[in-house]
Amino acid sequence: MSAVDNRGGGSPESRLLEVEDLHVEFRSKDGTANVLNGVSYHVDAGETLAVLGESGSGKSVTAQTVMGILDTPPGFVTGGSIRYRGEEMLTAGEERRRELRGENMAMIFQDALSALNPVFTVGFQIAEQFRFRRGMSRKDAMAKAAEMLDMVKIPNAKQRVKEFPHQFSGGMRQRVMIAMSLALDPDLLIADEPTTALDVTVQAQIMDLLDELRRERGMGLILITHDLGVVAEVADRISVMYAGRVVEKADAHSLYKQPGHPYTEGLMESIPRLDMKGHELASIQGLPPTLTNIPPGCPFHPRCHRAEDACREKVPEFHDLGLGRASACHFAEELISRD
Amino acid sequence: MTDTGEAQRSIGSAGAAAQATVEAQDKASSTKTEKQRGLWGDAWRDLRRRPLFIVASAIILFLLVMSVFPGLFASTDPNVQILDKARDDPSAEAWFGYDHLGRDIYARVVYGARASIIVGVLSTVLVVLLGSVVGVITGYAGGKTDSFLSRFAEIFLGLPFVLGAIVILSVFNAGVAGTPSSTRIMTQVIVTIGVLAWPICMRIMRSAAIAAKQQDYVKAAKALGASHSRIIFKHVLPNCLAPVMVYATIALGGFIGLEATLSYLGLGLKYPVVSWGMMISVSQQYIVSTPHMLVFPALFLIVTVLAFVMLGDAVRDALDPKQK
Amino acid sequence: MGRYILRRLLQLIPVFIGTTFIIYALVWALPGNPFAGKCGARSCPQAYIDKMTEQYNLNEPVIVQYFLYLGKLLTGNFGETYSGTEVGTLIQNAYPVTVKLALVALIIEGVIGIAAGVLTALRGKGFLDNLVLASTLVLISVPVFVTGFILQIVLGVQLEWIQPSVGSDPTIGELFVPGFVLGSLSMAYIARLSRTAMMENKRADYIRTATAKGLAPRRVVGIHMLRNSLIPVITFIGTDFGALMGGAIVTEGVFNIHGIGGLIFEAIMQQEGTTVTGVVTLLVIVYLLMNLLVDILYAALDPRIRYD
Repeated sequence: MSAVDNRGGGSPESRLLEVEDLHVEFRSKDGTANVLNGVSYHVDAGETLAVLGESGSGKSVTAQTVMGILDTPPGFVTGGSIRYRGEEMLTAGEERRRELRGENMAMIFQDALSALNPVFTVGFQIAEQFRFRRGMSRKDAMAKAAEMLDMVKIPNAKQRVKEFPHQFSGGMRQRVMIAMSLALDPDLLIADEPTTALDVTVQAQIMDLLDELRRERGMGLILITHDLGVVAEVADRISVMYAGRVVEKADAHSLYKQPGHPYTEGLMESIPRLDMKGHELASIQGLPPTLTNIPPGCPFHPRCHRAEDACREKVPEFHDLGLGRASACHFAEELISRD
Repeated sequence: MTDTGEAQRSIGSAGAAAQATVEAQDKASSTKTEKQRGLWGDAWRDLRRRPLFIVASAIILFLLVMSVFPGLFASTDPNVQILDKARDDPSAEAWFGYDHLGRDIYARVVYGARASIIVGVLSTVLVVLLGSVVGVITGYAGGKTDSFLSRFAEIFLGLPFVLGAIVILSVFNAGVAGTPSSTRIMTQVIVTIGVLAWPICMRIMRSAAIAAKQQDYVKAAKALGASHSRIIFKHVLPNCLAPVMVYATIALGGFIGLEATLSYLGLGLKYPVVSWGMMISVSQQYIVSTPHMLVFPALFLIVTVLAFVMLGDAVRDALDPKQK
Repeated sequence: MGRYILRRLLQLIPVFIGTTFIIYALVWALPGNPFAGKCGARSCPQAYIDKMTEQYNLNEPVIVQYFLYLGKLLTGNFGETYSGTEVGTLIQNAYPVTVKLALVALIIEGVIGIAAGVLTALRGKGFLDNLVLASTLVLISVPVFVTGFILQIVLGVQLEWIQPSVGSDPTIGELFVPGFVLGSLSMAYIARLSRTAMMENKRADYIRTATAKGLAPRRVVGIHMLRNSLIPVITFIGTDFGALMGGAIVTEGVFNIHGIGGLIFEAIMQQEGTTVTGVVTLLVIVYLLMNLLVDILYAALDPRIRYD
């Protein structure tokens, strides 16, 4: 949308993944929903980008579009660009994109129970990639699958490859999912709410595992989540999404210290904090807009306590705030210069 | 454990269609009566836009009028024989021609609607009543009552449908000398269908009742000390309505076809009742020279069954949020 | 698993006894003289009545009669008709034809039904989808005897492509059209079932995962989607075998096939009680065993099902 300072490492050419001004709409009988309205973000090798936002903000749709697994219909890409190592994805043929899936970019999903095929053993589902992408024999592929389970620290991997997804606990199942996504050694991993369906104690283990694997392999990791707690620990940079747009981007540290968008501010204030015990927990009033009918001006204005006339009329530009930060708020400068 | 034995022949598809509705509804209506009203309201709004539903309803309405007032449509007596017109082709005087005994086929087809509709409607009522009562009891009570009554139902499911009907009807017929009255013949057919088909309706009702029983609001009502009858009538039954309706509509069509099959085999309706199945059966011997003896009753039979199946399909789709 | 099968088998016993008893009671325990009209126009000779009374324990209460009959049945003795033919022999002659017919029907309904369902689900809305939906509606609505009758007249009498009536030892080819007729209803049902299952699985998360793994579309659809979608279809086909055998009576009548259906129909018309009970018992056994088999098969196909 606008020229934004490219700090955060690397030149555009060396970028692992660069999403620029991506537009996606969902068409149905009842009308067209503008699900993505110019999403831009990038991720470099070895770094973790957290994509933050409520459900319906377009986080997952962006990820699916990047992977090329968006259901069409109803989803249609209407504009923008996705470049993997400089190669344009949106114009690449389906065959080329399939080549890259699994091999170069992989994805793990929120609910591993439904994301794994219930009628095949986990070994079969991991080995499948070695067999059909690498031409390995059934036996060798199975042995590799066991190695992968071992790598994600599933105890007794040799036996457990023969088990079915429903025989694993939630955390173990997510490990299987991770093992499966890493089978072909991709350099970009998209994790779509990988810990949302898990117990709190298990969440931390899975996040640690992902972080460890990212470091070992020098992968770029896109972590999609609505959980700020998760983000704080592992993210290098954060992009906050709202109503199909990125409304703020910053490195994790400065974003936590001083949010540059009222929406981010709202998100952070809605986390319960011990030192604020006794105070009423803040929440963002109202609901996210329906994507068939996004309000004019700043899409966040009906819920924003700072909204002024300008916000109701003019769409705030996603503008550079220096130091790799940018925000789509008319009052961004004011916000970040507060104490 | 699964109910894979669900699939019964001939009206099995109705059973499975209704089963799907149970599941869909189960997911759709997790809250109380407002949701119920919402479900039906939505379904009705959806139905009115479906051409399938409108066509099917129009046909059924037409058939109902025809079966109540056949005189409006045909002025000829369907059993009067004009032997010198036997097997005459369709003409302006007799639109569908004459049969081998010189009876006006148009009049017979019109009067035949009554028998089909009566058998279809009454056997559906019988099946739904029997099946619902037993189904709600088994589903709601569970435990020993459930397993006993479920086994009891399986006894009837184990009987092949047409075969069972043939045996039962031949037993009924064996006891009578001479020509039985038309009321008696019809009752026999209705009872036979009822006895053989109720377990399918029971299974649908049973799974709907089990699903309803597990809803939180039913547990809450129980905790508040509501009586069994109140829970059943207020909470469980409304939940079972949709799947049973779907089943009943499709099954009604199936039963009309079944009645025709039994009459075709010579075990169902008999003279003096006029029935499409009988007409088709008789036409066999004259098929080459007098094809109109087959064509018209078969056409009416097919369209009638089709109308009910279409109606059931439309209702199921409307009640099933997954299809939207 | 073993315990599950044992439990199911034990559950089958009361159902089996109930079903066969109903038939037995209907056929033998009617009020009135069981021999009325059974020897043609004349009344039966006393010697015959005595013999039958002794053979079928007709002086005992029905329930005793039934269990004595069942005892004989379990030793493989199906009894005799009035004319002295072994019912066992009659069944042996008729059985293979019906099994063959049911198998032909099963294959036709399976192949056409699955193909139609899968194809429409993959193609999505359009001409093919509407065509298949309309044909399933028609197949469900037209009673089997009408389908059979029409095909017999059109293909057999007018076009002369097939023999309108099938001989005593029919080949698979001769049974093709009767098999189609017998399986037509189930075919429509299978088409709908597989279409619905495919449509549901098409949007399933694990299909998205398979695509995200970079598997070829052929493998995503052919292995991941099909395998899951066919579970209900295959179990349906399994239960249908028993139902087809019992339901073959009309089709066999239309095409004059000398199978179980023809045998039992004649037996009912001539009031041959032994034949009726014998054949029905056999059909009930097949039906119940097929249902059991399907439940076991289900466990093999869907690992999530555990029987214990």
